[in-house]
Amino acid sequence: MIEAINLTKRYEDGVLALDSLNLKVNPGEIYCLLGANGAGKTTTINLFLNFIPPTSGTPLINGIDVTRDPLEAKKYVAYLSENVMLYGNFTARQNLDFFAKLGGKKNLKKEDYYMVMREVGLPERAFEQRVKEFSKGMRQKLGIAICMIKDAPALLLDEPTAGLDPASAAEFIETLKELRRRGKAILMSTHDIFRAKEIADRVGIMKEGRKVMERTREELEYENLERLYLDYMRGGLGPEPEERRAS
Amino acid sequence: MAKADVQSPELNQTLEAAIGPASFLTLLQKEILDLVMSVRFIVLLMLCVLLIPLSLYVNAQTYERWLADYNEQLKIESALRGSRGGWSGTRPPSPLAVFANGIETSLPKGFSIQPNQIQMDKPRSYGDPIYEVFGRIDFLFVVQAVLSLIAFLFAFDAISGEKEMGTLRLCLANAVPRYKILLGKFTGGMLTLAVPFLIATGLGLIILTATGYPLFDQNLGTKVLLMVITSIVYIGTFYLLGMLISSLSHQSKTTLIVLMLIWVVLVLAVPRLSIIVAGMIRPVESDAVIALRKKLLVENIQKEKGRALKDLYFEKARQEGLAEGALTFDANDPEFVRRRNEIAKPFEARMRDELAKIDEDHQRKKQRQLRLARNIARISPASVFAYVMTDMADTGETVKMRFFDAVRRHYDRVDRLVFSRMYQDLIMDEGHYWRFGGTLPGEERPEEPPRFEFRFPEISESLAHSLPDVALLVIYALFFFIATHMAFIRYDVR
Repeated sequence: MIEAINLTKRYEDGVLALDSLNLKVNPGEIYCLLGANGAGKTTTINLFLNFIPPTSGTPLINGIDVTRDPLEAKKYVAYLSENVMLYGNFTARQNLDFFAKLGGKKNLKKEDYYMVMREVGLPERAFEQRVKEFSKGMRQKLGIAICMIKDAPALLLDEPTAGLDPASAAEFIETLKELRRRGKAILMSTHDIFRAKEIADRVGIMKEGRKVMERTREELEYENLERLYLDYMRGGLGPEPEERRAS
Repeated sequence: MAKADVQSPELNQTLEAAIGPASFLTLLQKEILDLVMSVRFIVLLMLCVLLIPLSLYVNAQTYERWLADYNEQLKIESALRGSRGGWSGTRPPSPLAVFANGIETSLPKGFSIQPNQIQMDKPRSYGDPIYEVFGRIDFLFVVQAVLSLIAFLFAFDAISGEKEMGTLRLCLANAVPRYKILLGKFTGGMLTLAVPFLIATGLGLIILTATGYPLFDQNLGTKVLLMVITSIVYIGTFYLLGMLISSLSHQSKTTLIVLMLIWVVLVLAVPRLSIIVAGMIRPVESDAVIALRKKLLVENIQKEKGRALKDLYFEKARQEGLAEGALTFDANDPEFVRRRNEIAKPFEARMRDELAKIDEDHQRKKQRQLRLARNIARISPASVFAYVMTDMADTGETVKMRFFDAVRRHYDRVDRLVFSRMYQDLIMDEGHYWRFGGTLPGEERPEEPPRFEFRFPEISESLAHSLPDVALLVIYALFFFIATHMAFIRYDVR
């Protein structure tokens, strides 16, 4: 559903932001990309959204090459960024309505929007409230509601829990679990090792544009993700062989 | 909510059907709603509804006053006909000055002529010190300065604001082509700007008609319609320029500062600087200097003529046995008159030719300077707009030149019919001088010259004259649109 084949991005200033990334996120799977700032997590998501062109390699969404047919590929993907600002003068429902229509959903009724907002845990009073009065947590919830209402099979989440209070983050994780249950392929970049361990079906650690390690949920039962992460970040461990990561 | 079947053809069909023209309407609706709910829309609405009808009403009242003055002046001229009535003339005020004052307030309201001299009257704004200092508010000013500024205020965060908020990323994460986003923003912004403007203009026109303004006479309505359409093109040009800067910038604050600077340059500086620059490149002597030069020329030739005539006059005095110094112009002596004309006419012809040459030379230089100033000013859409509006309103440079041409033609008529049949001799001798003047004997009594008439250009003439500027305004708009599109398409969403 979400697949990167030797995906590489070198910016005009020569910085290699992503180096031959290979990953695959299947339907009903949550893939967490861990890594420090500048590791290439957001670049990966930007490449899947065709926000930037790859230097080489192929980003695929639902089997469609994003670079060749970005508009077709974007029909199958929903996106949530770290700081969902949205349109401050619009109410939550108006924002939801706009992005739903932009995502191709028509003829939705007010109740449909309310239902999605209830699902993500937004309080009823917020439905017709202007978004500029929302807290960050509420805006993130509305952001995930926007992803949900598009009903796209693939989700790209760029550090969605950053800055959320623990309760909001926990609620958010529950929503993600529900989306996984519905068969969505979810690629999430995050700094939050504990949340990643809690929810991810697979975890990839990125460093300086390279995916240096990948573990499945089952493998992580026997390994300490936090220790692995810190070891990789400190440079104690080198990249694993490709075949190990691809397993 | 329905669960997603990732491979379902139904989902594909639904998505296919949904993502199409509908997304443009969605973007358009969002844009309009977003702008209408902002404070700037309230400001726009208030300014339009307040300034446009008010300026039209006040200017219509002023026009009524000018028209009454003009009619009164015509009555006075009629009463004076037979004496000096035909030697002066009055210019009617342009009815469309209500929309664009242009040169209406600074152009002389009339003139009077004497042999070898055209004396221009004071302009219509003379005696209005407040207006002289601060200028008047008219429809042209409201659109040129106020609405262009508001267009910038509407456009400054159209793209850079969305970049900052991250909403552009969210939009572009959907299957929406970038050109549609741009088109939605432009159309939405323009509709939000144009509707209050059109409502306010409509309101102003209703008020004008109710107060007796001749909106439906002499193609005025058509001209007003063209002025309104041009105004919308002008507002669109500024909105697109705002969008261009917004698409090049990543911060709306930066965009706003840059746009304010551009506004000052385009609206305030360029139109004024163009005159200064043109004056430096192609300097032209002032009207006062030319008048002085002409006066000196007349005096010199008169003196030369007097010296040439002196012997004739003195000889005549001796023949008549008059006391020394008791000169006379003997109209009953055909031989004297013949000899006088033989001597004087070449001087008078030379004077006429040289005065005409000074005038022509001065006019040619002024025209060249004016053309240069206009061309320099055309780098600003604000100047181009002002040219179109004043040309349409018959208050532009075209009408100014037309008026001066009409005055010159009138002078030539009066000169042919009156002044050429008159004489004026100045004889000087050792500190004494004698002036002689009157109608030359043998000539018929001077005819009463026809009244001065000034006609405004026909609508076809105004259109033909303003068409290149309208085209230039459209070219500016297209250029800004294409440049915005290029900048937006190439924008790296990081």
